[in-house]
Amino acid sequence: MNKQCKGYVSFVLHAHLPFVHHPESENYLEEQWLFEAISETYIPLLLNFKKLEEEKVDFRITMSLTPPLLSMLSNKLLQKRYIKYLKQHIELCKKELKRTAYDKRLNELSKYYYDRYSNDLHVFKDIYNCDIISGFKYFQDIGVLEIITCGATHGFFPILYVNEKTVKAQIAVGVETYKKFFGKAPRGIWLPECGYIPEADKYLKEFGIEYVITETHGILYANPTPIYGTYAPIVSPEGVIAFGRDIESSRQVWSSINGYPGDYNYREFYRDIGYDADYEYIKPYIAHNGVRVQTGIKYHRITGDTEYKDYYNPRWALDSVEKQAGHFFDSRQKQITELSSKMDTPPIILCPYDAELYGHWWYEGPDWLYILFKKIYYDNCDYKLITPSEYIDKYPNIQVSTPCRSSWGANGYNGVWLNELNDYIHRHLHTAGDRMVELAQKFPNEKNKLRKQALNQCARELLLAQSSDWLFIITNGTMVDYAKKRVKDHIGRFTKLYEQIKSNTIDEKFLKDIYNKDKIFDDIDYMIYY
Amino acid sequence: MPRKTKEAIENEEIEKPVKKSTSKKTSTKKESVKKVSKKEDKSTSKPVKETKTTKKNSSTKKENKTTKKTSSTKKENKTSKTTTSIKSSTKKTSTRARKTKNKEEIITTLEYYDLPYRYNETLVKILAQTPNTLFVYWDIADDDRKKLEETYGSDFFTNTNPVLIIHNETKNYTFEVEINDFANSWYLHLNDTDCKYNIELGRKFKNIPINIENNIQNNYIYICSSNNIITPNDHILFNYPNQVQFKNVKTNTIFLKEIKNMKFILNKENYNEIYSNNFINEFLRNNPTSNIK
Repeated sequence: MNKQCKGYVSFVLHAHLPFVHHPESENYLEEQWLFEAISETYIPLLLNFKKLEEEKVDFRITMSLTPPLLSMLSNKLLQKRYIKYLKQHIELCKKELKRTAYDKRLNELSKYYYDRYSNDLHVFKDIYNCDIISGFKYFQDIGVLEIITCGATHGFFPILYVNEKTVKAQIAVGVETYKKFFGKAPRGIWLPECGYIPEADKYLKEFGIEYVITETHGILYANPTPIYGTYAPIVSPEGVIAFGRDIESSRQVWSSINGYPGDYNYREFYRDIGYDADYEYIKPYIAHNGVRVQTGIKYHRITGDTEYKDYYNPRWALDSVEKQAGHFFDSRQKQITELSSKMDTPPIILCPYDAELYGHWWYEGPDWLYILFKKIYYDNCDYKLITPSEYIDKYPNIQVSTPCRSSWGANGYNGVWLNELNDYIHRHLHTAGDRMVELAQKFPNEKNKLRKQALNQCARELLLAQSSDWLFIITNGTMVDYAKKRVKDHIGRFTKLYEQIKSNTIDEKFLKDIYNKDKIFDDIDYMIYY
Repeated sequence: MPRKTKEAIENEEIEKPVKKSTSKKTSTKKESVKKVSKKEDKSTSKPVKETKTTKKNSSTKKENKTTKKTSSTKKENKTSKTTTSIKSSTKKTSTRARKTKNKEEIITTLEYYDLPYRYNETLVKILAQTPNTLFVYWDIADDDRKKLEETYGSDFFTNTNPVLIIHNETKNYTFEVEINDFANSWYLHLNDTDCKYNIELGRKFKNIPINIENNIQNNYIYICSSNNIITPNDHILFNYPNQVQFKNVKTNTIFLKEIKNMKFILNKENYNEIYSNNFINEFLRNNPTSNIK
């Protein structure tokens, strides 16, 4: 639609999960993070993009699909296990249809979930042939979605850069993985946890990255002060462009008090038949050790600040989605009208979120995006959706300023990933990083096949240990044992291999075993640490 | 993922007190910090500062100890874990479910790892935790310990205290914090943000032995130096230059704009209107992304 354009809104969804892959056992609940995200976020987003495409709505959205996520989505074993997960859910839904026959409203909801999981199976197997990534790639290829990359394993740069080569490797592997899946170079990167440090700019440049996303103060506290605040990007002296998050729109979505996801008509996250149903009945569908966990089948809506929860009603939820999409739409109009009177260049309102907010946490989120995008396209407004790349191409004159060291964690710096709960880990990450560089320098361009495999596996173990997720989980206090175990496993495997390589006693069986477990970055070349 | 869910907050509330009692860490103490008046006369420094340091006992050690314990009493732990997680049935459990022995597991190498207790290297490293907190960790290799004992006497480590000397390279001053041998890491409070820092690890004699008195300057024995860190900035600088530098990122040409000729910019007034400091701080503190409260 042709409309006067005074400014832009840019949605950036960060899709990331840590690499969880346990061929040795099916009992790791953590593998379900992926399955939940596929069913609740990735498939709903793809289906909504499809609807928009079919309705000829010209929209724009940007998503980072991180290398660990891409690796898991393309992993045959995990695909197989996802299908199994869906089949179990469909089986449970069938039982639910019988169990809830006594109550019409409840029974309708059981039917709703039965349809939904059945459709997931159909979409996953028949439409995408188990390859969700191809779905995202399609929308990138038709020009509505811009996919950006991320650090190889979401390593947090402000902590790793004590050894800059480890930051360089995170960037290099992130870019290479992207190329492998999407057949071209990424223009942008989601810095893991939005952790910006000026020291990384030279490597970002080296690997062809044009822009990064930062937290609000990454721009506001920049030097010199940006004359357009967060409403235009800045470019660092090294030549990396930084877009900063808009506070106002973020708060509207996120606020714990009156944020959109708290609407009383929306689905209640914490009521789940995994907790509510009769124990013997639900036992086959919860954790293997009998602990009640969420199943994803949730029959209640938020209802209010009460213990009592009413049944979920998808139609009511849709009404709230419409209302809130309208509110967001109007708020951006107002914001852009005000800003454009103060700026000589069209403002860009950058709205970055965790992708898993949409659908997994805020169940109605993907529908909200769909309705909002339709509104922006059809309704009367003087702004448009844009991707950061398009904005750069349209408005290439950008103020030079160095972004502020920052992250999107609580308080805005490094405290979430470095505090008294997890600080014992950092020396191990640093030492392993130094040792990896030592190995690369000691055995450059290794010809011996076994030693080369061992060196590459060392690089994988190091990268996996560096995931910011482990530090985050330890701080956050859920699944702590698993996160601690992962750090120990990867540092342990790295150290064992490091010693074996140095003493020329590589245990082939061990190497093969951990290669199969930590099956990520098949084409990695340890020489990135040289 | 347990990210930013209410669940996480709830659990935090449940778990925090427990954690505190088990983690036996962090006592905060105030220490007055002396200026160091030695080494290259860098002490054109600021007046003496009251500096807060958070002391922390060697957590790695404890971590290791507990985990070792876990390994030896694995069975017990498993059962106890299960019971706790059943109790708090509203959370996703990380507890790995009891293994059913299947074929896949049998072919896998049995692995169990602890983090190495130490790496036997002489080093001191620093990281910025916040704009005004540095995290420091260190170690002295056995060989270097031996050398020090050979040079300064076999009671060197009992007769000296470890110290950290903090250099602010940007503002060109130095201060010293006395630490202790029970710790292997520390949090240092800094008064100046957005500065380049590095740190020295050294030791000071409680009583300087007479036979080596002449060899020691200022009662200080240098051990090693850290990496450099630039701490983050923590406020809007409002340092609009008269001319703002722009770059055309397509052609890489740089050009200047006179700020007074620019009608449309967010000046200080606009800035404060749109982003009042309270607003930013509140936003960052409650950053919804990580939900740590």
